[in-house]
Amino acid sequence: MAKSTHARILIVDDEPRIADTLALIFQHAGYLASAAYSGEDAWSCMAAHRPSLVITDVVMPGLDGVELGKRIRASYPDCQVLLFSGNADTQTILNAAEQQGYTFEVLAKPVSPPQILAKVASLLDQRSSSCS
Amino acid sequence: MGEQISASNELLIRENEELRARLVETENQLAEAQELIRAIQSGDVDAVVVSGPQGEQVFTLRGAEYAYRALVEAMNEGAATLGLDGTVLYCNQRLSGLLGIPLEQMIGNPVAKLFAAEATLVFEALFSQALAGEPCTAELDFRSSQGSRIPVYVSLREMKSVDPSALCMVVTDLTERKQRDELIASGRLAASILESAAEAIAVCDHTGRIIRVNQALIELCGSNPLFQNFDAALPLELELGTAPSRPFSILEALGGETLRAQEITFVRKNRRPVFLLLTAAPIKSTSGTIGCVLTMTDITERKRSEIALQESQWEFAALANLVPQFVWMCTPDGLCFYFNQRWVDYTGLSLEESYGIAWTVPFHPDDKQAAWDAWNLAFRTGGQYRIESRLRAADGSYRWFLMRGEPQRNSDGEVSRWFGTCTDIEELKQAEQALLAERQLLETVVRRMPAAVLLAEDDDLRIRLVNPAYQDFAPGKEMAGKTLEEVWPEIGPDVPRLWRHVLATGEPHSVIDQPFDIRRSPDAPLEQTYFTWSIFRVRLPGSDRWALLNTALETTERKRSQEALIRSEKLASVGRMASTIAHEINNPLETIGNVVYLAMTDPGISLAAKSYLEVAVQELERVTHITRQSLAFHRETSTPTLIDLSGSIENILKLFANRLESRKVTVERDYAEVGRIRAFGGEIQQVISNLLSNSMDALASHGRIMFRLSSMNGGGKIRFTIADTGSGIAPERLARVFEPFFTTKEMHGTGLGLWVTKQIVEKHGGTIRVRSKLGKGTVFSIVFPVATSAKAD
Repeated sequence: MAKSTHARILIVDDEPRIADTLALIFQHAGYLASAAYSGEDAWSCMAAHRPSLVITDVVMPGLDGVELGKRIRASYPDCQVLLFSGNADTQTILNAAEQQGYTFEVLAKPVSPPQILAKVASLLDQRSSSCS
Repeated sequence: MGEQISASNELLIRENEELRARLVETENQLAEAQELIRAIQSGDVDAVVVSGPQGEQVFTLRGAEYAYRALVEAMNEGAATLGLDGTVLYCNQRLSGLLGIPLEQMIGNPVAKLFAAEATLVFEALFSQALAGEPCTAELDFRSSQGSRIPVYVSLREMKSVDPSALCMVVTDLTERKQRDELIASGRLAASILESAAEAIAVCDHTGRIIRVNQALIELCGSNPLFQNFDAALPLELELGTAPSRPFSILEALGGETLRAQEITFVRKNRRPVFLLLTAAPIKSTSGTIGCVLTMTDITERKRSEIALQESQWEFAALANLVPQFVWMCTPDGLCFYFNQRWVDYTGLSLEESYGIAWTVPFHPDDKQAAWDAWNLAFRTGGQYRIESRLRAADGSYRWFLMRGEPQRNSDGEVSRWFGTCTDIEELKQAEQALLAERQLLETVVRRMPAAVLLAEDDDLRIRLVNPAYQDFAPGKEMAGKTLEEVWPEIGPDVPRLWRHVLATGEPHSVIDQPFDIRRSPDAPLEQTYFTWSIFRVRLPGSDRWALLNTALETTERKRSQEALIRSEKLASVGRMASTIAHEINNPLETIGNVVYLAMTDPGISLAAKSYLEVAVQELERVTHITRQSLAFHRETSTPTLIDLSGSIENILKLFANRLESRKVTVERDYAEVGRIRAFGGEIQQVISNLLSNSMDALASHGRIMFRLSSMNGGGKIRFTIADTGSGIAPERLARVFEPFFTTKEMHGTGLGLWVTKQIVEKHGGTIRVRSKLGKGTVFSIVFPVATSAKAD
């Protein structure tokens, strides 16, 4: 976890409370975490923020999580995308993405903070170890 | 003394001289008498002077005496005069001829010498009686010069008119009369036989003259042939074998030969010829053949029937060849000795090739044994022989024949021969087979058709037949022969009443999805079912009676699945609603979780506050679980991952912990080191959850549930079993538990749980099996392949 701290994380959710509290939890855990409240916002700050990992809600008005993930994959291949959703219909959106060759991991809301911290740590750890 | 002797000598000489003189005189007198007799006999003397006490008398022999003598000589009787001493004084030529003794030897000899020895005494008595003046007669036997006996009738009478007295003897030859009497006596003996005999009998004398006839002979001749010559009265033709016939003569029978049972033809004028069986035997007596007896049996009828029989045999052969059947005859041993022409024409076998046991040759190889067996049975029992068999025609093709044979018995009841026919039944057989095929087709249709069919008769609605589909409604019940009410007592009186109405009126009736509470077997529990059925009246073929035809289709499943569909539709809409609500619940839960975490990790928090927040975290986890389980599992993750089954089981047990505890269910675990499977974790948890949920429904309080994980195929597979000590599943239901909409929980279950479970297991390359025993429990076992690749996330 020591290696992964100071990594940049962007948390996207159309519910600001979720995005803010989660960003706070990651900041407390030592990450450089920031929050965005829509897919469009997230996409616009990608270039300046350059996060290593984006955690995004799936069902959002406008640019949804899957669409955002696809753009990030296309433009920022080094950035990891982790979806989380509170909606039962998530599977259909994922299936559509899978048809186009994009496979995402989705976590179900509510995700306990220790669980998501562990998940992100392991993802970043894998990435850094495979890169180094 | 001397003087006395000389005196007596002189006396003796004188006496001697006197005697000599008297002898000479007597001799002279005798010579004279003899001369006289010779002269009288030869007719040389016309008168005789006989000296007597009254002086000399002259007897004139010519005149009247001469006529008498001529008469005596001419008469057919023998005649003689006898002296008182029995000397023959005179005899005529007839007597001399009868005895074969010359006159010279007769006259002057005693008559007694002429008789046979035993007749002498009788004659002496006769003689003395005649001398006493009593004329008398007797039958006596003379002895001829050849020594043979000659029966004669002797009449003796004193002739008083002559002096000295003499006896007159008249002899009648009885030889012929005796013969006739003999014949007549034997004829009289046979007379009764003769008259009562059915055969025509003729008795002929030695000349061939018919001297005796019976009524049968008179009828045969048409007139009385008595005293006619046999040959003239009955012109007979002798039939001697194949030789041409020749006339028969009575002389053959008189010749001493006995003819036995010769066939003869009697050709009668203006009448039909008759066939006779002639037996002729001579009648013999001491003096040779004296006649013959001829017996003639009329065999015309027999002869005619023989001819008729022969003709009928020809007719039989002609008829036998005319009938369309094969005709055959066998000895009692089963050896055929007759076939008609049709047999020969059809089989192409000559008669010689068919005789004996060769008749089996044209039988079809598959039928030969049966034909033999049937024949042996008929042969043993003497009963009728009857079999259907194929016979090979000359061209090699086969046709079906009906073979029938019957023993013919003689008057003793013994089988004298077998008589039989073979009738071509090929077309009949084909029609029969076509009919049979059609019948079988119909039967197959009725048997195989998914619709159930029942045929009931009479007012008691007795079931005549049901097809298997109908029987499947209640496999444990006997149906055929029972009444509707006996089979379905549980359905109440309405249906039988309706059926009787249909039987009476002929108005058909149909019902769709009618609910019935029925028993599948007499002791089974009531089961709620649905039937779509119809009832209509049909006329029984070949009678004027009506029957009821009931067709039925059990729609329970469809009805249940409809209901299940409705329920699942409801469920789906509830699910959809839950899903939309879930989003609204999950997001706040996420926020709460985050905030509680932040609060807990705040450095300034008091220990007490932290402990409160820990309770909040636990309760949050509970809420999270509940929302996840009640919604969809599969949304948790999209890629299959390596799953440790024991972990999944524990997760589910945690979820069910409260319910298990409230029902006092003991959970036992037996996990071996089995490796992991590649799976969607949520789906695997759904499988475990479904099976555990079923087990708990089957368990009463204080039951046990056992989880077991074991290796199979040397570690290549994992067997996961979940066993319970619950109520078990009935065998007939066990096979259906994996069907969609099948449920044992009636209104409580969706009927989808085990179906979904099976789908998930198979999607993961696994198999699922179930074993169960009513009252003991149920075991589900699932086999998963172990994940081989280390590729994991």
